[in-house]
Order: sequence, then structure tokens, then C-alpha cells
Amino acid sequence: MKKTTDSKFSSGRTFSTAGASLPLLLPPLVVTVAGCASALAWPGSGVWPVLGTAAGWGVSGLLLWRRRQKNAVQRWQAIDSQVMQLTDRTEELFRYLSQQFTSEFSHIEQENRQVQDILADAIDKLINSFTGLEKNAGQQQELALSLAGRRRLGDGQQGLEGFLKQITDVLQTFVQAAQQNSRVTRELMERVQRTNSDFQDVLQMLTEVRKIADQTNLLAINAAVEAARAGQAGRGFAVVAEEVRNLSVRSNKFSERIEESVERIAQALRQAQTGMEKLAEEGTAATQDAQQRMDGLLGQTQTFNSQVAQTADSLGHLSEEVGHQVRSAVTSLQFQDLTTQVLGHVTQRVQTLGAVLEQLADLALAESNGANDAAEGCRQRLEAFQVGLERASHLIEQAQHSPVSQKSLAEGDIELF
Amino acid sequence: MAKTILAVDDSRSILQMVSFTLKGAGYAVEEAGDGQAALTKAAAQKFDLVLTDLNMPGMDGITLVQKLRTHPNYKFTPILMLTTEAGDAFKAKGKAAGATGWLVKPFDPQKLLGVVKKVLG
Repeated sequence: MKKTTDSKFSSGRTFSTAGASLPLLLPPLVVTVAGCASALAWPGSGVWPVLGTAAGWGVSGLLLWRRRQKNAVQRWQAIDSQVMQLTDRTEELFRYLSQQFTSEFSHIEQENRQVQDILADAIDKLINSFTGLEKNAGQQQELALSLAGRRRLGDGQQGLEGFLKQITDVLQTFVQAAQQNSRVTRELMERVQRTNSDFQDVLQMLTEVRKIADQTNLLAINAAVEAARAGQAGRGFAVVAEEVRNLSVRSNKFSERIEESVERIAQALRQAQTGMEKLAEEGTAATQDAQQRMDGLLGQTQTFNSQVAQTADSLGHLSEEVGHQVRSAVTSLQFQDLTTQVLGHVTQRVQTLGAVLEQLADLALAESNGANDAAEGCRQRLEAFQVGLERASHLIEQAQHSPVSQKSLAEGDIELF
Repeated sequence: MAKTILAVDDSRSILQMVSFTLKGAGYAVEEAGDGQAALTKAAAQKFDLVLTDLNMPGMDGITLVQKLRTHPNYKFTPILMLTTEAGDAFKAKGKAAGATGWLVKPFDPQKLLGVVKKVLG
């Protein structure tokens, strides 16, 4: 543009004067030669030859000046025509470039907005994911602590620790009851043994009773013999002796019945004793087994509970770690706001460049406001050029300040006034 | 009764993260996308703290602070600026407008909570 203007400005000053033709010098030379010849031929002719020579030179000079003027005008018109052609081509080029740049700037803005929209959408989802992750981690920690029995789940509900404690208490009650039963069985067995021993004494005593009855029977037989010897006097005594013998026989039978009954009772007691012994042995073994199993179960329960507690603690640490990571992510995710502002500023710079180009394009297309005078037209164009440059400079200055000074995602400063 | 905080930012993601951070600490948070919306909400409800961005379309953060300070309810209410601007000239403008503090993005949630607790007493 400047080059075009300079060409136009300099076009009137750069044409050459070296094209003065030799034929224009011919008339004065002819007149001069004729004057000199007449002066030599007619020495007394006076000033006429000199005047003629001067007039010839004057006419030649006038013709030469007019010729130069005509050539200058023709060259000016040719250069001006070329300048106008260049100006038209330059204007077309500026118009084309302006359209192309405007189109490109528009695409840059659209793609910029597209990037910002994609970023915003992605960040929106990421934030929801991270916040949801932290909430889930917190709930997981609560559930783990509840499972370990460190916190109550709700009304009447306890965690695993409380549940296992109740089971242990119930099992302990059962074992204690079984041990009590075993003790009672042993006591009963001892009493049965003592009773059986008493029955043996009774049987011994019944043997003595039978012996007494047998001796009584023998005595009664002897008495009957003696009564028979006594004859009529011993008849009454014989009756008594017979009754005594009958009593001894009945006594023996009664003793046998008692002995049989006692024997059955003793047999039953022995069977009961055997059963109780077996029961006591089994009860003791079962109690010992239950005790061992319960101890084992308690141990396993304590181990399991300890593991659950450790797991809950680990989950708690993990939840804290997740929370820490989420907070770090929240800090990092703010890059979207920073990049959006940077991209917005890039858009502003692009818009500024577009506006500057538009100013320059307007300058190229600007008319000289109808001024016919070339110099006035150039002056007006220069003024428009200056105004355009000032506007462009102002726009560039406005776009200088970046709203984001951070170079990384390190947390920003905090200052309280 | 939870303390109420008005968060003002034209970035939806920043509003989400500020709300997530503050609500997680038990505060009640209201959101506004620009200065004018913030003024409307501030007039309808008395907030214990205002946390605002600086560069926003329409009314910027400095103007918002100036207008809030003219409101009887917000003469002494803590107002924190949360912005990407870190220049001293901007901080001086914020201080002159009546801002309580200046936080430069990106913010660390724990430190943001620390500042909020401090200014809320």
C-alpha cells in the first residue's frame, strides 16, 4: 500500500529529460549558419544576422519546451494509469485477504468455542465423578465401621462385634448348663452307688432272716417230735409246734419275695448307675468338646473381628486418601476455567487482529472523499491511514493484558486485606 | 443453623467445585453466574459470606463488591475475591472496593475452607 502511494507520489518527479531530440536543434543551427554566411557575404548588413540567429534559437527553445511538456504529460498519464491499476489490484488483494482472514478468524473463534464447550462438558462430568467418588468412599467407610461394630447401625441394630458377643454369651450359657448337668449326674451316680450298697446290706440281712426261719423250722420239727412222744399231754404242744413251723416256712417265702424285689431294685439301680455313668462320661466329653469349640470359635471370632477392624481402618485410610486425591483433583480440574479464560483471550487477540486488518483494508478501499486534487486525496488517505493505525494500536493495547498469569496448576496465593 | 455463602462465578465448573467444597464442610451455598444475578440474590437473602470472581460478563467482581458495600446488609460482610488475576494493581482495586481478601485460582479446597472459617470467625 505504502509502496503504491509512494509510486503515485513520485511518478511526477521521476520522468527523464534526456529525450530531447536532435531535430529540434536543427532550425537554430540553420539560422545561425545562414546568419554567419550573410555576415561574411555582406559585411555591412548590420545586426540583422544576429537578430535572425537569436530568433531562430528562441523558436527552437519554445518548440523544445512544448515537446517536453507534452512528453511529461504522456508519461504522467502512463504512470498514473499503472498506479491506478496497481491500486485496483491491491484493493482487490486486500479485499480478498480481508475476506479470507475474516473467514479464518471466524473458524478460529468457532473452534475455540468448540474446545471450550468440550472442556466444559468433560470437566462437568469429571467433577460429578470425583464428587460421587468421594461420597461413595465416605459411605463405604461408614459401612465398614458399622460392620466392625464401632458404630451403631440404627435402632436396635448392632454391628458384627455385638452380634458375635451375643452368640458367645449364649454359647457360654449352654456350656455352663452342660457342666452343671455333668456335676449333678455324678452326684446322682454316687447316691445310686450308696443306695445299691444299702440294698446289699438288706440282702445280707434277709439271708440272716432265712437262716433264723430255717432254725425255727428245725426247732418246730423237734418240738413236734417231742410232743408226739409225750402223747396226749403233748398234743397241744404239737399244734403249737406245727404253727411255729408254718410261720418259719412263711417267713422264708416272704424273705424270698423280699430278696427278689430287692434284687430287681438293685438291678434297676445298677442299670441306672450304668446309664448315669455313661451320661456323665458323655456329658463331660461333650462339655469339654463344646468348651474347646467355643474357645476356638471365640478365637476365630476375635481374629475375624480384628481383621474386620483392620479392614475398616484400612478403608478409613483409603477413604481419607480418596478424599485427598479428590481435593487434589478439584484443584487440577480448575484448569478448565484457566484454559477457558486463556482461550477467550486468544479469541480476543484474534478479534483484534481481525479488526486491525479490517482497518487496513478499509484504508485501502477508502476514497479520497471526492477530492479531485491528487495531493488533497493523498492527504486524506494519509489522515485515514493515521486514524486507522491509532485505532489498531488501541485495540492491540486492549488485548495486551492476559487475565491469567498462572503458568502451572499450582495453587494460587491467598491474601487477606 | 448453617452459615450461608453466595458463590459468584461465570464458570460453571468453578461454581460446582466451590459448592462441593463448602457444602462438604456444612455450609449452605447459593450460586450466581454473574454480578447482576448475585446482587439480586443478595437483596433477597442475607448471606454470611460472598465469594466472587473478578472477570465476569456484564458486571465484574470489583463493581459487585462496590455495589454490595453500599447495601446496608453487606457493609461488614466478608467478601472474598477468587480470580485468576494475580497483579498488585487488581488487588489494590479490590481492596479499595471493599474486598476482604484475594484468592488466586486454582484454589486448594482445604485452604479455601481455612480462609472461609477464618473470615467467618
